[in-house]
Amino acid sequence: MGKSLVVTSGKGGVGKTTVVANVGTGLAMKGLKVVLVDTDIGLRNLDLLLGLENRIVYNIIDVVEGRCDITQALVKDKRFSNLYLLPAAQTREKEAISTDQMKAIVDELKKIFDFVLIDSPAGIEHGFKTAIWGADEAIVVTTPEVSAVRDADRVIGLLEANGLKDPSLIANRVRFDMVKNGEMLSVEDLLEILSIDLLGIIPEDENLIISVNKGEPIILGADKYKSGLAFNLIVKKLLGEEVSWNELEKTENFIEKVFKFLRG
Amino acid sequence: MLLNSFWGKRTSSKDIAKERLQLVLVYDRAQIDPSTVDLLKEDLVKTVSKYLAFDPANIKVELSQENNTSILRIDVPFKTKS
Repeated sequence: MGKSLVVTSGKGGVGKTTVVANVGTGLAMKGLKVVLVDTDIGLRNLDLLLGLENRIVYNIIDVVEGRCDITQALVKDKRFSNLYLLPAAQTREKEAISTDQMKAIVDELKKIFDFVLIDSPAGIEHGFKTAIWGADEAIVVTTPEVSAVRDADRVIGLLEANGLKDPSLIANRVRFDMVKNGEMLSVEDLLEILSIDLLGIIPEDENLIISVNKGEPIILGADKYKSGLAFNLIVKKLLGEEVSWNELEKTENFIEKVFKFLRG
Repeated sequence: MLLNSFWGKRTSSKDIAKERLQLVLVYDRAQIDPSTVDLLKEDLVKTVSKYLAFDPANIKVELSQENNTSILRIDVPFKTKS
């Protein structure tokens, strides 16, 4: 029996889908059977981040409404045969799937896969409730901005009220240089304010934009990019390994120095 | 930075962010609007004034958070006789 994890944030645009695409790919790179479930009905994007947008035949609503089997709707990844996507419907509304229907789908997937990663829509309405319904554990993504942190706090409260105790936090778009100058909330600040455990830190990285442009998760080039390295650490931590985040800051400094040197 | 040190003040924007967040989250978590606390304060001033002599300007009513519990603090300092 596999484990289901929902990735959520409250605020939009903080990197939920990026986290799902990269952590999912990373787990698959370790040889695990992984399925990524896009629950953002009407605003699907996970397919784009994985470069699978042209391979979708059926979607999650087709499964719910009985037009296909769950296995027929799964889209196999281009690179890893043990990684699959269950796409959202693009032309329907969030209400097209109920909490119980979602739970049934996730339970079914847990029988086939080691990890079921659920990408939640932004907001705290029906779509969010549906996304968290079938999850065993929750991951909250935030950025070090007051608005994102406030929304994360609200989501943490709602997760706990719905039986998802002790969610863990991924701090995205961290700029260590700004933290050092006291112009950005540090990861320690975020953990203190939200009273939550840390799952990972992802530094701000322009290479992520390029990876999304190409539809290739950045973790594929983990050693070359600081955000790729960060996702690698998150995957390790998810699998129960001890990780040190100092490594990340050091790598960032090193990469930045090399770039500065090259620019002259 | 230079200007800050010139004025002898060095509150970083991070500290401001943290303070603002912690305050707003106390209200969010208790699901109370700041305006509700203001109304409560007005009522308290009226009630306490009926029985005691104190300085209404110094009355403090605020929500705070201690050990994951929201606490409503009411400070009513008596008038000091001078």
